[in-house]
Amino acid sequence: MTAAIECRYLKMEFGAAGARQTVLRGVNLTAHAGRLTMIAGPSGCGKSTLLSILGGLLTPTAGEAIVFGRALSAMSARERAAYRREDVGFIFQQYNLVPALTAAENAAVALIIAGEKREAAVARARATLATLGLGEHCEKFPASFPADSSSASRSRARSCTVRASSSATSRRPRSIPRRARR
Amino acid sequence: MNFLGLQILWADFGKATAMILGVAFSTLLMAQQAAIFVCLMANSASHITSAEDVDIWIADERSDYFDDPGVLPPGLVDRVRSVEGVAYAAPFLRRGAVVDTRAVIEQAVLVGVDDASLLGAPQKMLHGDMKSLRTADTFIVDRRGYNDIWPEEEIEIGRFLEVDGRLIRLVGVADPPSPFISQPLIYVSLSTAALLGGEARPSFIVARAKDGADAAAVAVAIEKATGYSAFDSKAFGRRTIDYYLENTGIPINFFITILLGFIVGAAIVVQTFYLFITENLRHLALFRAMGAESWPLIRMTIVQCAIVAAIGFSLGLAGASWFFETVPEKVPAFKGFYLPAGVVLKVGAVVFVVAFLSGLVSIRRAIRLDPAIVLRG
Repeated sequence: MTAAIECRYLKMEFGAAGARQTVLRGVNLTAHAGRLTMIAGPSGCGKSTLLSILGGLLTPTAGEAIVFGRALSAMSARERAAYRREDVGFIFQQYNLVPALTAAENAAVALIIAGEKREAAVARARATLATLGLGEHCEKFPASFPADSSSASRSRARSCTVRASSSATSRRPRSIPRRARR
Repeated sequence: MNFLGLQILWADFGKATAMILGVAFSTLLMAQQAAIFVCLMANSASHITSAEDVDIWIADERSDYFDDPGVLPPGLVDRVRSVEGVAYAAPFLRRGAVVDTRAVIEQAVLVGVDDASLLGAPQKMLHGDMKSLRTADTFIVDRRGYNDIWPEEEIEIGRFLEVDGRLIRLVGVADPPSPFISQPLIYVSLSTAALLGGEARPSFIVARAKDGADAAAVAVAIEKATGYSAFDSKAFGRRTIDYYLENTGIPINFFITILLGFIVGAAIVVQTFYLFITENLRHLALFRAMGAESWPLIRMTIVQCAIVAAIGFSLGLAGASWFFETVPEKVPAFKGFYLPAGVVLKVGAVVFVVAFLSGLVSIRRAIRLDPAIVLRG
């Protein structure tokens, strides 16, 4: 079975010398393509840090993260940006919605960044939100969610909005070689 | 990306408005003051440049500029006429005079033109005919001067005015280009000038080069032949403007006002835009985290700046245009003032450069931003 993600002795430290905090201590991990892999652990154990390294947002202090056979540390800043733009879908813990944009526009951000035309991107985002049962929220701004939604549905709406954006952008990985993607 | 930038810009309506008003204020002040300065300086040479029948001015070598006339020997005009390339030449008088209406006594500028040729007289008349000056003891006054001498009175041809102690009769009202000096302009023939008290010898000799002859070259020939300073109209106008630029506080005063407009406008725009970008760093970091590269973010910021600059510049320019459309009609001191295209272009260039620089200064933070900050709470 193809290894989609491999981590070898991944180490991550934060802070300056003297106040250094080690978050990851030599993590070794293999995630196979076509399988759902979940990472669980207590709060503060480094789950987000590990995912941020795999998402190309953080650079590990030591070790290697390999995605579809390509070491992330070997990528230039531009290649990492392309990797984030075209191959990775993010659902941030804080959602990070842009208050100036409607739900549909927020969901379309990743597509717009990937170079899709605004109208087409927003239309796709609307369709995705409708599929998720959030069609009625498409034109609402993030600030208006608390006014007419229960806390649970608001949370769902927000995460779905981001999820729609993330799933939409992961449609056609380009920075990873086609053969490796398969 | 540009769409995202504009949505974010308009969402912060307060800051967008502050930046637009900053640019508008700056544009208005810079354009209005610069235009007034340009028109004022142009007015100092307006008599020279508007005299269509004259293209060479011969002056006393000690005369620095048009409003500082010397005294030339009456026979000089014949020597000028004898120079190769001169089509015709005539004496021209310009000196101060005192006008007395019994109700008003004030200083005026007396302009004496050759009786036969009327060389150097204004071309545009509101009432009467310039040729009427050939009648003895007559004068023509400019429109603004008429209002100064006889305030709030209808134009009445034939009325008398005491000039340098002698009563002369009004035969016309001229509409010359605005002069730099705001005193009334009293036009008389040289024969009439000789009857008034005061200097009657010519201040300048005005001449015209023959068709096909270069006025500047003929001026050089006149200088060689007579020993007096001679300039073509363009050079003499430039010399007059240069005198005011170099010997008065006018350029400094206007420069300070224009600079203040620039500094205040730039400070508002740079500070507000920097604050705007700082408050939106989290969103910019989000875009970077989602794979946006530096250039699209720079382009997005440039579009935000360009929109702010374009709207603010348009508003400021509209204000300046309104000023020059309405005020010169109502205030005689601003007669003939306009908004030169060169001023509009230069102010526009300054405004857009400042807006772009403020954007680039602010975007530096966004470009150097660690996209991982979106992971922090």
